[in-house]
Amino acid sequence: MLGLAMLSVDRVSYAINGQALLREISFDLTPGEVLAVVGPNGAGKSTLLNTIVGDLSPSSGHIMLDELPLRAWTPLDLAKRRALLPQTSTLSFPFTVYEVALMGRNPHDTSNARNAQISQDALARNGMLHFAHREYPSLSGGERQRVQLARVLSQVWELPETGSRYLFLDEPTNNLDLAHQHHSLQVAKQFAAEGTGVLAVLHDLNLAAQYADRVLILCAGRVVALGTANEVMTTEILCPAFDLPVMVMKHPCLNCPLIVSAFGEAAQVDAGIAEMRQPQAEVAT
Amino acid sequence: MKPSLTVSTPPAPTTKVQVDQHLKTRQLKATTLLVVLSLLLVVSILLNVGMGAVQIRPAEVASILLSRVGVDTSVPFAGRQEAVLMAIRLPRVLLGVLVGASLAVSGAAMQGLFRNPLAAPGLLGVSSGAALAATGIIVFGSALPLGLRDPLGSWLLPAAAFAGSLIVTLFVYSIATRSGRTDVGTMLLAGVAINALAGSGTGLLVFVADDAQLRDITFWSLGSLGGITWTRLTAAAPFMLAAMFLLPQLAKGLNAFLLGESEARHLGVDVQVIKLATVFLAAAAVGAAVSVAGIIGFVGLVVPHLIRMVVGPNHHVLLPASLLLGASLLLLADLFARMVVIPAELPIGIVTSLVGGPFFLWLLLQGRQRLGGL
Repeated sequence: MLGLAMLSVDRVSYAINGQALLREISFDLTPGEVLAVVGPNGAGKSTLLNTIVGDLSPSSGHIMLDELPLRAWTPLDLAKRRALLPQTSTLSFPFTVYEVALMGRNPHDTSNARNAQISQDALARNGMLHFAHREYPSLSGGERQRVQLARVLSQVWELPETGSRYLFLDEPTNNLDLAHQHHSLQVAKQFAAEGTGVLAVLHDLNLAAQYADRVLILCAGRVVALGTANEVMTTEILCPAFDLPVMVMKHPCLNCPLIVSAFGEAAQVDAGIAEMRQPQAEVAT
Repeated sequence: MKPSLTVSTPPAPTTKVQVDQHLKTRQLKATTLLVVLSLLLVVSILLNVGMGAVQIRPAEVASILLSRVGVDTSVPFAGRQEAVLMAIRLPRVLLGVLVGASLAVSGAAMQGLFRNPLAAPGLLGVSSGAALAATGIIVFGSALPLGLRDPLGSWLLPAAAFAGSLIVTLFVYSIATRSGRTDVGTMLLAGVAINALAGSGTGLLVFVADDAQLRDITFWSLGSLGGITWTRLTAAAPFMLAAMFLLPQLAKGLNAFLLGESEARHLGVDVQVIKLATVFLAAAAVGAAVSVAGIIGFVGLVVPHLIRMVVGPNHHVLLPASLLLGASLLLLADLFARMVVIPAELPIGIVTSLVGGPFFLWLLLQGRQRLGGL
């Protein structure tokens, strides 16, 4: 059956020692979209990611990848169509940047020349090609993260023969400066546009709002909201989920919400909100 | 598609052509290293075979060996030379090659598995576990029921040493690994504890041993390639040959393993197979090496380090290169041990520790960066 190539998560729960970390989570990830998972600390974001990549087995529920249960895939076949960028990478041996990117080609039996080409293209896309000969441990945290992104891109650089390809990013903007946070997410978005299902766990709500086609808000192991940023990033949803007074306004130049904290001295916040509301009131009259 | 946002990366001084050039240089370096190390091994073998109380020139060695298979060369040799070569030098050189190569390749593979450059069999207590088991056999072996002792015969010692090294490896690995991450501090401290335990066990055996057994036990703890017979060599060789030929096959998986166990799994590597194969092959090789040559320290630690300094951590090069250099270094150490106090000889373990200990300290002084984040 064509057209059903997607990752489908159906009422997935995960509990450990009687404590439910994920409760009845359901969503689909389709090729071509960027889905951002956001939520406060301990909401279950990493558990969710570990479950849908198969590192953890759900206590109940089903995960289907391209119409086959996740468990039915061999590790090698999975590796050919799906890559995971870990939150932190602990590689301490002096591989060169190029060798790290080339490891993404591990599951594939493409020619050496093709693998070399792909890893170099993936490095170039992340602005790291000129570091190809550098030793990985000598790089800064942000540079390492960009090399790791190049590695996972080169792993799913080509579309598999059947089905689709997926990219799972666990806080891909970790350690990155502002410019590279945007650059990396733009790389991910472009990769999605080329026919990849991209799921990214993000901490920065504004990055999620700007780059995700859909946002999944997770709180205490439940899906609080799932939809476009404009639909779900509202004060009514975000304030209780993050337990923080926030204000949501329209981004001055992009078609997405802009979220700012309204946390501070109560009086100042009240004054700030009043000030914010005033121009709106003028427009209304 | 060009990103609308331009990121201020420094102007790329390296084009793809230059990257290709860099890779070619690296490839050439690896090939050169393997060729040089092969030559070094050949030279080491010839030196070890030829030098000693009875000198045998390479041409004479060839002539003796060819005459064995019925080819007559015009190079004359003395009967004494033939006797020394066949009964003493040749088994000793082969033992040196097998022990050096398998210790070095096992060290390199275990360092990959533990993702730590300090995870050598000696430091983790694997060698002392094997020596304890072997000592136990020396002291209590004669008390074993004949039904168990006879069928095993000359295999009993390697088998016991293998069991000892395997138990220690599995023990250290399991207590140092929590949820897929191997904790380095725990691992090294576990090694310290195992070494102490095995030391006290060996001490106890020394206490109950008789004079003949004491001599044998001293041999285990100091290490020596001397006194090897063809029978004992052939009993231990399969374990070491298995590690030498099979561990390099795991290169691709071990490379991925350096990224982390879960990363390796997501790259399609069967991590369980890699783990078990590495642990079993390395334990078998170290156990067999200890059973025939005693504890020879630092080869498994120092050799992979030297190779990594030249060509980096890629196991496709590291494993075969460690194998070659390990064999050569052990042969040269044995040559030194034999030649320095003629007509007696030093135990080889003393020589390797004398060289390896300071080298290890130097590595520590080099800083954590080089060692890979202790």
